[in-house]
Amino acid sequence: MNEGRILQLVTFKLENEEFGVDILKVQEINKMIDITRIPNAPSFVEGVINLRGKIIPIVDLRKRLGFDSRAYDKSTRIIVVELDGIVLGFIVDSVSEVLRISESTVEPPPPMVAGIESDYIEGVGKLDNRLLILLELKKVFSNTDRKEIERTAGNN
Amino acid sequence: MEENIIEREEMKEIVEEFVVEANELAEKAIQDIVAIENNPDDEIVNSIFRAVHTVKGTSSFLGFNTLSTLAHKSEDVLGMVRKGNLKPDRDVANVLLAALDLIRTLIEEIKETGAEKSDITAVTDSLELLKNPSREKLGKMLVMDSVVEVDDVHVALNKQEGGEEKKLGELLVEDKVMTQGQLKDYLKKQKTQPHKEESTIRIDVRKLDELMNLAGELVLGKNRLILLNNMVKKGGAKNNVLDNLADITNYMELVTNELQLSVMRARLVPISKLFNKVPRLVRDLAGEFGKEVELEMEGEETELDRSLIESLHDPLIHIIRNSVDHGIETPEERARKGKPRKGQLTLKAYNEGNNVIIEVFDDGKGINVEAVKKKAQEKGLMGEAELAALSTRDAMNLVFVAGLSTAAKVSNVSGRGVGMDVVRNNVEKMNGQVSIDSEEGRWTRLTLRLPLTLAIMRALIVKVLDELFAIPLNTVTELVKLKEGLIKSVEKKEVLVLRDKVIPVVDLAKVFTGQAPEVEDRYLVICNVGEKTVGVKARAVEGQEEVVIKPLGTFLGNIKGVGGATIRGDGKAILILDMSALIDLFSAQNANRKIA
Repeated sequence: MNEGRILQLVTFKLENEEFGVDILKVQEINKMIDITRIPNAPSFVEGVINLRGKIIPIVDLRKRLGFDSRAYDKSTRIIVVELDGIVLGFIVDSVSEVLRISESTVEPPPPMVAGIESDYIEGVGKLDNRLLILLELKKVFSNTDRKEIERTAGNN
Repeated sequence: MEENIIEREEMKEIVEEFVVEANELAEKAIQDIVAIENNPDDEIVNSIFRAVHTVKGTSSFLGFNTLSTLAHKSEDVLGMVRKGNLKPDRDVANVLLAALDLIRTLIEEIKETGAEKSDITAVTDSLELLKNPSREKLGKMLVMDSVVEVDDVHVALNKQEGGEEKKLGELLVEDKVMTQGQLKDYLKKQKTQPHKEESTIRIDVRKLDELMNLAGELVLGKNRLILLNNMVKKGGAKNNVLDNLADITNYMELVTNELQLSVMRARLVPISKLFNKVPRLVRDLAGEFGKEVELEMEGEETELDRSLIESLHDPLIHIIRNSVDHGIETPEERARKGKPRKGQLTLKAYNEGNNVIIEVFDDGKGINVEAVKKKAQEKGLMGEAELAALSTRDAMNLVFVAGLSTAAKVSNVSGRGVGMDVVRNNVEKMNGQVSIDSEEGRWTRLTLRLPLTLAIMRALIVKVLDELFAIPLNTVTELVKLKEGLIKSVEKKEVLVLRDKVIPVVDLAKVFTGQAPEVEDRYLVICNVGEKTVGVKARAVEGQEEVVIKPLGTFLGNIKGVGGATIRGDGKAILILDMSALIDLFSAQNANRKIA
C-alpha cells in the first residue's frame, strides 16, 4: 500500500508556471536588493549580494531555465538555498506559499515540460487545477556550471 | 547506548590529541637527528630519546601496538647512542630517520582511519642490526685517517674479544698508538646551539579564525561609524552630539586597530617551522641527485601567517628541489668550471613593509634565457618577434608558464614542466608574487613576496563604468589625473608616457566584457605586479579603505581577475580585483589581437 510521504514545498512563480522546491533546502526568502555584477561570469549568474556579512552568488532562474528575462518588480524575490554546504540564491517572479502535498500526487516528468530540461525536474505535482513543477535543485545548480564558469572566464 | 557514544567521543578526542602530540614529537626528533648526525650532542640526543619514549608509552596505552613496538626498538637504538655505545654516523642516522618516517606514517594512518596499516618489519630489522654494531667503527675511522695502523686496531679488538671492558679508543691510547688529545678530538662533540624553547600556547586554529572574523566584523563596524560620522557632519547636527560621535569614532578606530594587530600577531608563526624541514630535504636531495650542497639559512625568526606556512610548504619544496636537481651542477662539472665542488644553496627570509620576502639562491648554472625563449617559441606560446622584444628578466620569468621546461632529463617531479606554474599559482593564491633572476652559468635567485595577512588589506576604491571595485593598495604605485592628450596611441594600443616609462593603458571594461563604451575616465591608476606595470582607467576614485576580504565561494569558483569581494560601510558588496590575473588577461588579449 502506497504510504504517500508528505512533501513540504516552497512554491514560486516564473513566467506563469508554478514551481516547488524542497523546503528543507530553503534557508530564507528575501526581497530584491542591489546585486553586484561579476564580469566573466556566465550569463545566468547575476552577481553577488551581501547576506549578513557573507557573499552569496545570485542566479537568475529565468535565464537558467531558458526563459526570457523580465524587469524586477515589487513581487520579485530572492530564494536563498543551501545545497551540500554551498549557499546561493536565485531570483523568482514571486513567491506563492508553503505547500504540503502527498507524494502520491507527484508523477515523473514527461520529456519536456514548459520547455525546460527534464534533468532539472524531479516530478510534476497535480493538485486540483494547478500543475506544480518540482525542481531538482542540485541538478539546476550542478557542477557543470562551474566548469562552464571557468571556461567562459578563460575565454574572455 | 548513551554511554557508548560518550566513551567514543572521549576516545576520539584522546586519540586526536595523541596524533597531534606524537606528530610534533616525531617532527622535532627528525630535525634533531639531522642535527646530531656526526655531531653528537648529549642534550639533543636526550631530547630525541625522550620523544620516542613518550610516543612508545602513549601509543601502547592507547592500544596502538605496531607503533609502540617500532618506537620501542627505536628507543633501544637511541639508548645506545645516548650511552655512547653507538655513534650517530650516516648509516645510523639513516636508519633512525627511516624509523621516524615510519612512525609518522603510522600516526597519519591512525589519524585517517583509526588503525595502523603499515608493516614495520623492514625498519625493525635495520634497527636490530644497529643494536649489534660491529666493533670496528671508531677503529675504521682512525685507520682511514691514518691516525693508527690497521694492526693496532686489530690488537685492541682482540683484547676486547678477550673480555677487555675498556672502549676501543681507550685501548688505543693505552697502547700508545694515539694520544689522549687525538682521542679527545675524535670524540669531540661540536656543541650545536641549544634550541630556544618558545613559550607558546597551543591554540586550535579554528578559534583563532573566529577571533579573526570578529576582528573583521569590528573593522566593518568601524567603517559604518566613520560613514555615519561623515553623514552627521554634513547634516550639521547639534554641536555636542557631533563631538561625542567624533570621540566614539576615534575610539573605535583605535580599538579595532589594536584588536586587528594583536589577532594578526597571534596567528603569526616563525618561518623556522618551515625552514627546519629544509636541511633534511637538502641532504636527501643531494644524495638522490649526486650533488654536494652547502645549505645556509637566514632569517628563520621571520614571522608569517600560519596559513601561509602551510600553503608555502609545497612550492618551497619544489623550488629547492629544482635548485638541487637543475640548478646546482655535479661536483665534477663544477670543478671543471672552476667553481667549488660544493654548491651553495641559501634560504633567506625577511620583512619588508607589510610583506614577507623569501629568497632561494643557488650558485648553479643559472637560466639559459635563449633555451627558454626557444622552448616558448616551440610550444607556440609566443611569436618570434614578441620573444625578441622581451627584456631578459621578462624572458627568464617565462619559466613560470605551464608546460615550459628546458630540463633534459625528467626526474620525479621537476623536469616535467608542471612545477613552476603550479608554484606561481599557489603563491598568487596567497596574494603573493614570485619572480626569478639569474646570471647564466653563475647563479639563480627565486624571490617570493607574500603579504603579512590574508584577511584584511588596504584597497583603493575606484569606479569603473558604473561599478565600484577595490584594487589592492600594495599593487598601486601612483594615481595620475587624466588630461586631454595624456594618453597616446601606439599601434592601436593606448599608452601613457610617465617620466620616461611607457605604460600600457588597461580599459577594464574591455578586459571584462570585450567592449569599450565611451566614458570619460578621469584617472589612471598605475599598478605594479612583479615586473609588469599598467595603468587602469577609472572614472572616479573614491578613496582608500581597509577592506575585509570575503571569498566568492565554491559555487562561483575562480573568476579570472576577481580576487574575492568585500562589503562596504553601506552594505553593498563590491569586487576585489586580482591585478596579477588582470594583467595576464590584458596581455593575452593584446597578443591575440596581434596574431589576428
